[in-house]
Amino acid sequence: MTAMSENKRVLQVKDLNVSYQKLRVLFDASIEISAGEVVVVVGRNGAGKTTLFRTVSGFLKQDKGTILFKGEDIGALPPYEVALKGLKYIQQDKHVFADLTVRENLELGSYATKDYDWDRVLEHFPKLKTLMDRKGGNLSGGERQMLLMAQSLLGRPDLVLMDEPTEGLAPHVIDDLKVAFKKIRGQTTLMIIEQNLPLTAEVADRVYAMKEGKIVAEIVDKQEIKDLKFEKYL
Amino acid sequence: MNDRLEVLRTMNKLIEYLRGPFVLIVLIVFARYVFPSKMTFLVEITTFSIYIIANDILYGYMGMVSFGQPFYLGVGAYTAAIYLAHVGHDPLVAIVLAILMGLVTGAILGPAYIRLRGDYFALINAASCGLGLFLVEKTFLAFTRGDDGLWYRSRMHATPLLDLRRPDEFFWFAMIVLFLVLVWYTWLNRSTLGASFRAIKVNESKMKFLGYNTFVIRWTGFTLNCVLAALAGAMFAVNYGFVNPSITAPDRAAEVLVATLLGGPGSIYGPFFGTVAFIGLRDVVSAFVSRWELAMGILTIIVCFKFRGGVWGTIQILGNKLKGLKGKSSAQSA
Amino acid sequence: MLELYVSSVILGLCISGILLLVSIGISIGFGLMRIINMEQMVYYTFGAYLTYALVTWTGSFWLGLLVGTLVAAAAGFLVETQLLRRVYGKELMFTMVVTFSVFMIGIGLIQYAFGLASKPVGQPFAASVSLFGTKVPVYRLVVIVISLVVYVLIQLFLNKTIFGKAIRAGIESPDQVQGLGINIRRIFTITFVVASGLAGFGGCLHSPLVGVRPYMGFDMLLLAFITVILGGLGSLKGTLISAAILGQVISVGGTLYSPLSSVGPFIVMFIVILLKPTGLYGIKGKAFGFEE
Repeated sequence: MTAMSENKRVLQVKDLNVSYQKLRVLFDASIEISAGEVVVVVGRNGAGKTTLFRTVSGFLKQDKGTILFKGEDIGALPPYEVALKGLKYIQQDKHVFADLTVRENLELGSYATKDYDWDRVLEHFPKLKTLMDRKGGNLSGGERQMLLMAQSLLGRPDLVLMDEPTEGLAPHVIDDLKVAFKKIRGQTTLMIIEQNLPLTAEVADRVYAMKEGKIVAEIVDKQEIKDLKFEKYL
Repeated sequence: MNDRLEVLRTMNKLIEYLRGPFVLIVLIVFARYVFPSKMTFLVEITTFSIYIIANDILYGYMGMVSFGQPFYLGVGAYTAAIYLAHVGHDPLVAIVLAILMGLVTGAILGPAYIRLRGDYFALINAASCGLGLFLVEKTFLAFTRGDDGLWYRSRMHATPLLDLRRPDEFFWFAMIVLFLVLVWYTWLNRSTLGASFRAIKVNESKMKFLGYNTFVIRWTGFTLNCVLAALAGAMFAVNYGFVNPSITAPDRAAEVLVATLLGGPGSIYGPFFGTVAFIGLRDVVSAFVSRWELAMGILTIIVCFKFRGGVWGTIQILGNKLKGLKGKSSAQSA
Repeated sequence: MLELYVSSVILGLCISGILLLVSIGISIGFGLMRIINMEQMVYYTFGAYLTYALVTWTGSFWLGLLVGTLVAAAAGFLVETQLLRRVYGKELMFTMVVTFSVFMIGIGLIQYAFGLASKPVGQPFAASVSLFGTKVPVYRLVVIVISLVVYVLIQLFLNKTIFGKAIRAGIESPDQVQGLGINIRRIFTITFVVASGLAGFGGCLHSPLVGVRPYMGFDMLLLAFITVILGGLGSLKGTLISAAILGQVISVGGTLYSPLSSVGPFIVMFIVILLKPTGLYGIKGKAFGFEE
């Protein structure tokens, strides 16, 4: 939970191999993320992006490979410990706790991290302040995504993994999210899975392209990203 | 020329279906003559394995867990018993009636039960098993004589060819029934129906999408379970010459599942070997230990954790290893 | 005639209370941990037998209640930490057979320690009160009141404490709770201990009303299944309503026509699930090993 320092490697994944039962879905994946970056992972459905995220955050066990977070090997840790170390994962289904209010959702987020500074967290999502007593099940897709992002910022994480945050959202909501991404990057590092290529072009510092379980390309040139040159790898 | 080819092909296929069951029957008969004192044991495992085949259709094929199989066994057993005790004298008629009753049970309960999600299905079977016990012990006391049990051996008449009242002739009857059931079960294993059962376990919505009426398929599987279990129950009833409520008691629900697990679900001979393993284990244990609940409970837990592929799965793995192949049993890939 | 019915209704409410206490564990256990724990009634049986033992040795029913509940909770702790941990996420049949075996072991232990015969437990209050023209045993009223109090306490616990909120969240998505840094396994354990304690408590309360016998848990188990199927797995409110209905069916139904006390609950459940396969208030999602 330190403030970002230049070029410090927040995440180092080396030769990660993951299988579902006997079926291998991730082959020798290697990734490096530096503090303060916004890295986007693109790829078709089934390319292995979510598997990568779930393994890094501890929900899946890798067959081979190492995962270093801020220099520490987290490969064997259960998901809650990974979260406590400062690596948060926002799942694809935008599920918030439906039976609990927004306030209670945030309470749960604060409970383990002991971070009750909601002002800091809600600063980028002012709309949530008006929804505190609404039950999670009654929130729109965009509101849920905002709640999930606010929740994940509790505890001052060093890395937040977001799985398709703009999926299913209306364009103006996506615009709000874009603004939020840009503001958040000052507080933490982001790794995002996205199928929304124009959005990727706008927010990404670097792009990893995945295909059929492998990382096929890493694009670092800002212009290439803006020009969506990585499309050919998909 | 083509006709002759067709005939040869059909014969070949027939032999494929008949070969396995025939070998198993021969083995059992052989065992019966080598160990004549074990004949009762062999008849018991033959009948019990039909009961397990019934459960295997439900669990091994369709993935449905029923924690109340004794109910269906009891339907068959008590139908046969009540017929023999109050109505008629012919054991074969009793068995046929039991099978019909199984059919009726499947037809009536099916539509309600099969629509339930897996966990509810397991529980409702457990509950109806308890209910069945109550009905037999108290409600229909007049017909079932409750806890005293129903005795009718003296009322049974001889049957043509094989006198089912005599243990050694019942043995042959059991062999014939097992043979027929196994041939049918082999057919099921390779048939579209069997495949559709398995497909429902894996992805029911996709089956629906492909145009299959999964409700009817499930209903069919459920009814097959009822019918086969009723057959087994009737065979027990005829062989013992009496029944009492313990045959349908819910505390014996787990043993069906254990035997299925032991044998390796979803394979043709799994039920038989699972039965051998289970009943063998039970007989050995009760010979030494009077508190069988304790012992069986502990043993079951050990078995569950250690024998995931089942006995048949292990045999297949060993067989494959002997043949020099890597040991992946078909039971596991089913 | 009214007197007979008043008496039945009270008894029915009493049965509802016990049903509620013992069924919560199965319902919430499913909702949170996605397993069906067949050995839930072991704790019920332990509670009942310990009450019997302590009443026999010390004469104090309330001490028996306390000890019975604590021992039941301790047994639950043991089972959860040693056995259930290895069972989470495995398929349903495996879980049911393993937990059922624990049940059998528990029954075996009881038989070993106490023998097979049925034992009586004296009621702590011999007194009766007059209610609507009938004499009603005070103890039954006490059971009803205690059960309601427990229900209210549990609702408060689930709605007002952070722990309860974590449990409700865990019922929806255990993964997401972990993602917030909360150790969901510890929550499982604590929930299970509470559930088994409740079942034990139910056993203690029930012991003066029925004799204690080794297989008493069995009959209760099947009734508990009917309760949770009717109410819907995973819903506390469903369990309450279902227990209330079934208590009356057993009691009043049994007064009208004797076999109804056993057959009635099943029929009610059967009819409801024909119309609504997940029960009155069942939650979405399933036990492990099943497709959608």
